[in-house]
Amino acid sequence: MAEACGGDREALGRLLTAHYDRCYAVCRRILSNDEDARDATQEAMIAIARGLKAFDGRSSFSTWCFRVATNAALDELRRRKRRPIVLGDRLHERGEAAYGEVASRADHVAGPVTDRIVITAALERLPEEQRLAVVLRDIAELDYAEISEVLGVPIGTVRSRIFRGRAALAEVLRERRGASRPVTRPQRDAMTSPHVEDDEAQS
Amino acid sequence: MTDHPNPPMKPAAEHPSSEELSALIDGELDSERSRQVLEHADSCAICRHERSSLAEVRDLVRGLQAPVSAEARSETVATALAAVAGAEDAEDAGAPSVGDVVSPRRLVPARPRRRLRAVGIAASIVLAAGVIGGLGLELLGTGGASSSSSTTTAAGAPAQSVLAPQASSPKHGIGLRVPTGDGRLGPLVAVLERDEVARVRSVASQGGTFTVTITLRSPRSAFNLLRGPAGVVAVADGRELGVGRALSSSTLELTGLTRSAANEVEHLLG
Repeated sequence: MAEACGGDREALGRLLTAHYDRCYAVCRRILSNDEDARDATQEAMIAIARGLKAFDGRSSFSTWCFRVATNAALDELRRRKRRPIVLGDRLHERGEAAYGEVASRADHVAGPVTDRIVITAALERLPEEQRLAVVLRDIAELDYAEISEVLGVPIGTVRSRIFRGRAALAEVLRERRGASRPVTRPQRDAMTSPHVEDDEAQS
Repeated sequence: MTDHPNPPMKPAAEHPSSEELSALIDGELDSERSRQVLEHADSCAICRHERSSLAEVRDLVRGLQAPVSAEARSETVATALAAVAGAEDAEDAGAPSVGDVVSPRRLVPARPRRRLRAVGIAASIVLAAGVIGGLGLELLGTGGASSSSSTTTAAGAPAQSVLAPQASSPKHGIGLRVPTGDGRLGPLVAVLERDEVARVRSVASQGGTFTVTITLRSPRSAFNLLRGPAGVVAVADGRELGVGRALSSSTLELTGLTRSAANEVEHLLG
């Protein structure tokens, strides 16, 4: 990294290559679309290359890369929202169709591969705020404070969103497996937890 | 830890909230509360089961690998290296910085795209032939490029090669056309598509006409393309939309647009 900071292009290339896959994974899960994810990853790579000298070392380099990638993906997400034309509808339709296909394929099948297929589809169907929180935590491996900073919401909200996202994913798995007992207790939590479902109150 | 206080201490017999179990597996409970929750879970099958269920979901999400194309990886890295080199060269030459056109919130620069490289090639051909007296912009519907794909540039290079990406991925966009010597618009040499190479940055009105500023995402190519001395003519279906010029290596400004023309450009590149 020192070499890359010092202007060594080959070192910079190696550094970017080493972090590409994880940055792409973050972008891909945030954006749910390969083309957009590639665009965002490219923006992230350029930003990392240009911002390398400004990296302050307060977090690990990987974490910093993930934050840059996350911001690039969020920007892409915002751009996509600003143009609610056919593209968004098509993506939505494609997502629904893909989920239906995955769901039917996954029926009557159990195992880790099926779990991954189901989780992938279910993750894309999560409410965006929950998906972002889960992805930032579990794929980008940011801690709650970092996620709070990236998303601009209180840490309690981050915690709540991550839990709700995971609970929804767990529920999908449970349904797929035909389990009889709920794995989470949202109703009881609603009565006992001070964190539930209330982003505004925590702002 | 969190800026939100943990719930008050609970007796070991009371279940922790599901949210706490989720935070526990993330190591985001303070040590005292972690100890309490773990102690409870040791003797509570329901909470153990829920914790393992949440942990399983976490592990599954962690394990989600997005398939990566080696070609995409190497291309992206090469583009990033080239962009850095390009910015340094531009700074050396005193050209406007890429940073001028991106969000000030963070450092994410303009992004050269495959299509824009084709644009750069076309521009180079045209510039080399010395025929640029201005460029025409026309709005294209789906498949619009294909109708022009059999034409050739003024320099004699086939436009087909430039337009190949458009033909395979028809979208709405703005076409750039080279005026010919007799005042008519020449062949289509490039296409600007939203999110591909161009994006509307701002729309302003003055005296009943509108000005649309467009950010081009590959400054160096854009600079080559738009540095011709004459203005840019924007047309749609043979109808003139307005006149434009390059403000910088990465910014194109269209002026004198009607409201509907500005809306259309914004719709296409917004």
